[in-house]
Amino acid sequence: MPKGLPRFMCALGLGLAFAAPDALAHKIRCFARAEGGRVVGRAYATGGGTIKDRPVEVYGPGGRLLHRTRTDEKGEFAFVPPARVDLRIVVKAGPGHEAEYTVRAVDLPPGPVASPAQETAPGARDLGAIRALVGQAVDEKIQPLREDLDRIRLRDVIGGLGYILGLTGIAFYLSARAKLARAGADRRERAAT
Amino acid sequence: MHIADGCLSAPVLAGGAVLAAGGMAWGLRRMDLEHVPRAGLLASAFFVASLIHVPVGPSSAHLLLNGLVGLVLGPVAFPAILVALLLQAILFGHGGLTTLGVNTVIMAFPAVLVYGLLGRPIRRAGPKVAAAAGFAAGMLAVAFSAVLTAAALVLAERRFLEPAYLLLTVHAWVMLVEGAVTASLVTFLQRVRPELLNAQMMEKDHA
Repeated sequence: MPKGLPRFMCALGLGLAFAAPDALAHKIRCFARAEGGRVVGRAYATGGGTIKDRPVEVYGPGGRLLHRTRTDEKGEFAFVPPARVDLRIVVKAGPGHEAEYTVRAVDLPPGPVASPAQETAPGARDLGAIRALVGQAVDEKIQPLREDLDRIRLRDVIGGLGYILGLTGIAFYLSARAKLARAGADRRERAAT
Repeated sequence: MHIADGCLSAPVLAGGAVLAAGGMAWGLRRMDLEHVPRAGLLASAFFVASLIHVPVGPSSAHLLLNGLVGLVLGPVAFPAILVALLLQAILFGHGGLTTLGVNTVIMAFPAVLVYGLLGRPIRRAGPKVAAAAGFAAGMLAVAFSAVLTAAALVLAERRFLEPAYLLLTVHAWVMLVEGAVTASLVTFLQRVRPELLNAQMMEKDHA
């Protein structure tokens, strides 16, 4: 066995040993919804990591900065909507990494102040409130699914390697054709002289 | 260090695309039959390397391997890295399609740079010097990439030093691991497949 190989395996093993799922380097996603009188949301990395303690900025129409907060330990954030307008939420995870999500004005509670009345809405037979509660429940249920969809799977990796193999084949064909054409031209030239 | 869609302004995106197109033209012209399998192999390695994470304090960064790609491929690093970045963007949501040009320049330019700076000692020198040069190539390529990333972000973030400092500190540990990986791969290749590192010979053939 060549002498360099064990050292290479050691280095690779070292790299893999430190491989961690907590991944700031991956694509950052963010999702938010109105809940009670607040807007709650979560930012996460597609590798399955959380975005801890990062600035969250809330913009109104025309790019006006309305509110600033930070994500907590779990990557979650919450704030009372400053106004009933479309809110563009931007999570700044680091240089070159940010995610945004827009909460539409119609999904926000009508009053600017939170009211616990919504919690008891089914009794009140308020169709709007029931709809809001169902929407909330569905959002909560599909959140893990949403995050799962973004996860990188083995088939993505294998698919990518397959694409590279295919492109290598095409490049092989093209450069071989160029080489054969050159060789053919040389032969003809030699035959002519 | 892959910049996502929506972080950069249009002039930066356009500039990156133009530079990447120039690099592609250069790289494709240099790519001949002998380069093709190497380019495919290193594009695969670069594509997968981004999944290997190195934890750094609260966050983590991933291996880049662009130094190695540059040492083996020279200017052909441009097409290899562009293909790998395109697939990372499509399949992993890593980086983005509009930022493909900028990201290609960020990764491939340092690769070609370390090839120009350190390619010769690695081809000519003994294993010890080659290992040291490989280590330096791995580290320098990551450092150059971090500086270029900060430079691309300067218009979006309106400052250069802070993102550059942040990226360099986050990647300091990656630089060490990357240097070690590149050094061992270079010594390994020099021992068993020296022709892989011998891009110069191929170019003379071509001329």
